[in-house]
Amino acid sequence: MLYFILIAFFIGAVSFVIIKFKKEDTARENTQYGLLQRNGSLAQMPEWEINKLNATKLLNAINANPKDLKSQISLANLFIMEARTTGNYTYYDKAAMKNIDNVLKIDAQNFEALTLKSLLYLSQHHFADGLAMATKAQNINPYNAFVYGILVDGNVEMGNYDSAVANAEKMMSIRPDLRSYARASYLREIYGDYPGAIEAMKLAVDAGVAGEESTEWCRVQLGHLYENSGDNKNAEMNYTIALDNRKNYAYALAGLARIALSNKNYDKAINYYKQADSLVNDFSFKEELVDVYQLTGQKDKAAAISKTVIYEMNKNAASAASDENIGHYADRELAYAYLKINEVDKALDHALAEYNRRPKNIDANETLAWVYYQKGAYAKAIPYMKVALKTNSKNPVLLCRAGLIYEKTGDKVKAKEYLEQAFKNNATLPELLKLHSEQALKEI
Amino acid sequence: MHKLQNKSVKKIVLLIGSLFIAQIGLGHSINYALQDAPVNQVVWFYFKMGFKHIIPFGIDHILFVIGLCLLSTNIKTIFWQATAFTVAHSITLALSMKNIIVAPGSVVEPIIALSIVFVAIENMLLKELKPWRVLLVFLFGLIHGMGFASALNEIGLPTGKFYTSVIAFNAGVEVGQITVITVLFGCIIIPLRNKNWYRLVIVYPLSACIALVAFYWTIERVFFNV
Repeated sequence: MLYFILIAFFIGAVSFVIIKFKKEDTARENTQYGLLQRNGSLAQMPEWEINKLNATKLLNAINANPKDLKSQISLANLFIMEARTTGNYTYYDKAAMKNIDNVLKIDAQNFEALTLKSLLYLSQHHFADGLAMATKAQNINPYNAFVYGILVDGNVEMGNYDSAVANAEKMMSIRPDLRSYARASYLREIYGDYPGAIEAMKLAVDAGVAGEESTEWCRVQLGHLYENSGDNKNAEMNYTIALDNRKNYAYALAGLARIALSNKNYDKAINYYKQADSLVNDFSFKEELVDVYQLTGQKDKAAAISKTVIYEMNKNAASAASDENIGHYADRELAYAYLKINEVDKALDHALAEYNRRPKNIDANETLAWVYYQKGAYAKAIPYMKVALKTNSKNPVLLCRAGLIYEKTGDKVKAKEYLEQAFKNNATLPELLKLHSEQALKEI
Repeated sequence: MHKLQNKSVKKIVLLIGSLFIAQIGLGHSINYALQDAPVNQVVWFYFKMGFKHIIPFGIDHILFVIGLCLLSTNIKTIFWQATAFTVAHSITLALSMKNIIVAPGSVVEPIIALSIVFVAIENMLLKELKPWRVLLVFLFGLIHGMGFASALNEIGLPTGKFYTSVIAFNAGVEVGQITVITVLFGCIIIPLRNKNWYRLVIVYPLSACIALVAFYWTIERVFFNV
């Protein structure tokens, strides 16, 4: 008798688990996402009312005819743009993916849906999936510049730099515009050609319409290139222009925060970062704010923000584990976040996870090398740092880290070479890294 | 009545079937770091991973294996159960990694916990191995295999070394299981099995504890997605 009760309980429990899952799955299937209310100054932006109107129109069209593929794709596009403006990638990427999947269920070869899906994969750091999807789209239409842009990004992230260059050249030959110039600039930066990168980014800015998000994003990137070349005056000018053209542009504010920081104007830097953080949900602002708090001895504030950042990133990553289709991989970011609170073992786990996904990427290798350095495993850091340096990138942070790692392994010649290169243009560097690098160079 | 039963069975079969069919097409991830690595490095990597998935990280699988051991003090009993479990989880592990069946974690994980509850309570109700217990263990093994696959999927497999990696992982899992069985038999079951209080002091309390822990996991996995 007891045995039959046990069997009945087991069958009942298993059925409950399955039915619950099916119900949730159906609810997920039937969810129709809409625009979330913007807050603060983002709600005052002129495009917000238009976006709301468009979203309502598109949602009505989809409700009337769920097979209206054009409206599904337009709505996905709207969500992708909204994600970029608000920084709420968690919600809007999921929303866009839902519409794109609706399209692909009806038309599995839909070129626009495939390109947008690959774009979303890249946005969620599912780089290999993004690259595979973009390649599929490219096979359908090999004459579309946009898809080559995604291939450039995917190949860069996977560390296939030669392929990325080839894709960028193809993109440029099809359509020389803001997007292709920006990609050319990024590749030149990776290959250590800062003057060339600045020149290409200037072309990108000139090709765009002043005030549009994509143009001002390029202008901010231009400012950042100047920063890394040690030309803070031009960097500041570009950030200021971006802010004039697009009020409260968070990335321009973060740029001005870095300039304030390099001038040791900590209060001003904190204010800029706080302002940027209140506008767009981007963890990098919080991370940089943590650095300033640490520098100014406000350790409690730094620790509190760090913990929030780690919690949020882990939450987003958890959604990646439960849903293979979407969910933000943030292992590289988590590795750095854990380093900030001295949890080196956890940082190593995440750095390795990132490395395993893309072992040829220079950033993933730099992160792993840096975590090994922080762990005191200097010899282990060397092979990864060698890969990180394979494109001859002149990024001053990378060069400082390389110098410090080589110094600890006793290779004074290489250490001196990299540290001198890092300081050559007097570029803006994180304060602590700068301090340690200067000390190391003196000792050499 | 007969028709009604048939209808219900059909409904359940369709429901369970749709669970798996709906998931077909999701690709398993690729381990790019080991793409160009020599075979021995790949084997060692996945063997270690499989072992670690049992000891120390697979506390639920450890409890399941302990549950299997507690049914009887007879070596043959554990041999048949372990064999059924191994064959079953090897099948679903390979099929899942090949994307022939991929079940969602939100279904597999609670059922794994429930299987532990079942085995633990059954230990308190049965004294010897019944043929259906081996069949049940086989069915549970099929579910555990899908759980192993999701763990393996987190790291991914290098393309072109599918079978090498899966077999090495499975071997690691087996060695982990054998280690648990050996320790349990060596330290508890063999030294104490002839005591007349063995079932009362060892089997009942241990099984009850395992059932309680696994029930807690079931609740956690069903309602809190942990």
